Amino acid sequence: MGLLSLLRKFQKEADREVRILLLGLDNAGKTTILKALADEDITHIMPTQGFNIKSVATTGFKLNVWDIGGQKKIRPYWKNYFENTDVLIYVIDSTDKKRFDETGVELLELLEEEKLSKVPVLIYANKQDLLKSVKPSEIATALQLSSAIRDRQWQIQACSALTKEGIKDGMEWVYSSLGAQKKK
Amino acid sequence: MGNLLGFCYKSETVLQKEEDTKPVFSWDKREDLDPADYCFEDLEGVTRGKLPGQINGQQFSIENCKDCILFVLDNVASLTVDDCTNCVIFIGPSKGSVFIRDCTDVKLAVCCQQFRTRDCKRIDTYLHSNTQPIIESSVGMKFACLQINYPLLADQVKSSGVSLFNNEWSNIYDFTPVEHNSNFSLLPETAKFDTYLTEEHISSISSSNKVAFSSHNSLFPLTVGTHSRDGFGNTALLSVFLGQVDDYVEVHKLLKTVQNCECRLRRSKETRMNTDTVIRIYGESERSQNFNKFAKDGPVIGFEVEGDIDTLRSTLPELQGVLVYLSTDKTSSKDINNFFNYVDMTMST
Ligand SMILES: Nc1nc2c(ncn2[C@@H]2O[C@H](COP(=O)(O)OP(=O)(O)OP(=O)(O)O)[C@@H](O)[C@H]2O)c(=O)[nH]1
Ligand SMILES: [Mg+2]
Repeated sequence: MGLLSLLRKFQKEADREVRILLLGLDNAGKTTILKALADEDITHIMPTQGFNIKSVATTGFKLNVWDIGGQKKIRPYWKNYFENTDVLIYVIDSTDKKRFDETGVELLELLEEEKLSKVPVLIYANKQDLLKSVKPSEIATALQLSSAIRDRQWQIQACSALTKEGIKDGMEWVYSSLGAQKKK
Repeated sequence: MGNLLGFCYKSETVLQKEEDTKPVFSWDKREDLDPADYCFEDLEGVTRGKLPGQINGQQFSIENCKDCILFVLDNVASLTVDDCTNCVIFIGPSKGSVFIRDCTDVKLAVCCQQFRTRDCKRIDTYLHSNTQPIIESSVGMKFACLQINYPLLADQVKSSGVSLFNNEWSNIYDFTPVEHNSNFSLLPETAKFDTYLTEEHISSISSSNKVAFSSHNSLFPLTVGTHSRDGFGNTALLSVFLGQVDDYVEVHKLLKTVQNCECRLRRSKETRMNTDTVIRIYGESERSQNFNKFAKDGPVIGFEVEGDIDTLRSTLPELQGVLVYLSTDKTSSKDINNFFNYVDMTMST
């Protein structure tokens, strides 16, 4: 391959647009993560009534991140956003033990969706900075993730949208999963 | 981020291995606190309190309490209240959300970044919320503007990051509205949180922390919100440019004057502004160049005031280190629109 075509190839990679879908229960921290990814102020975020979208440019990708409100009433609308999703990011409030069942059920339903089949899933075990947070390994056990998630790449990542720790680690997994997809 | 072209698929075992060498996060080094000190659980018919310094901005939860009076005179990271019945609850400033679930007949006083309820019945909330409060599957919800002060509250508000001047208490969004009926309403303007309490309640929690739920010395300004109606006099935009002043002593002086001349606040907002915005809202006079300098250094607060604006204008106090703007009859409606439209646009996510 000549230098020019290599450059061209690189250019093409650089331009790759990626559609990321951010889902999870209300209050999980989706919008806070979205704003942290875009390096915006996270101190004045309101509960989402519809959805937010942001484009984040990183080396190699243009990420179009869709953050959909998680209130129970509007979860039926999640399916309107499934089409052409490259990666699903599912956000869990790691301190909300009362709703681990509820969030597990919602995640399982997503995994059954035809339009999301084979789509890699990153699970952010968010709010790890808080005193009553549960470790990702315990969440994975409680939600029986390793038996529930089949036929796709997945990862659970401890993070805090507030301190921004772990967010980057999760995104690096996202990029690597995209690399793997490309090879197919 | 690493070399993108070089990535290849990692098998599960590789990922597993990586877990062992994962970076050390701040929570791996967290000091050993007993979660039992950061909740009220399974209580019945008692009065309990936490004093300033006991919670120190940690997460707090209240669960399964009945017929209780519960106070936290400290700031918290977030608050959940689950499965409580017939309780009176006050919690200091919450940096994050306050989430009320499966509760019935609760009287609540809170200030927070976000306020959320689900599956609740008959909750009276005295609220200061920086963002629009939301309710879901909840009925008989009533709201009032939080009025409170105690000696360490100002410091706690500051460390929680809650803004004193962004209060959406009356602007409720209902995810599950019903036909011909509203799941929420506003408490009468005369409603007072301390009517649910006796002196003994408060002093049994802390005799040294004088907690006052009155609008007289409230740290949070009283806004009438959607209670406001025509006929209370004219309206005007009253703005304060804080510049390098980083407390609100002067603003509270100004608000005293507002109270004293038969005026009241409809709504209030605190925001940051760039030069273009300052010029668009406050014009291009010599004065607004000063405003500009101040806006670069600190926040701008805007109040929509209603009442006897002329008296207010003639009695505006001298304030130290901050700039004050009061719109004129001619500019008021334009100024109010410009200011609040700008804030709504920049703050709506
Ligand atoms: N301490 C802490 N608080 C967080 C973290 N992430 C989010 N929060 C807080 O959690 C609350 C909910 O966050 P949002 O980002 O609004 O949650 P969401 O998932 O977008 O919720 P919906 O829009 O209702 O679906 C806010 O008060 C955030 O400040 C975190 O990592 N740590
Ligand atoms: Mg949101």
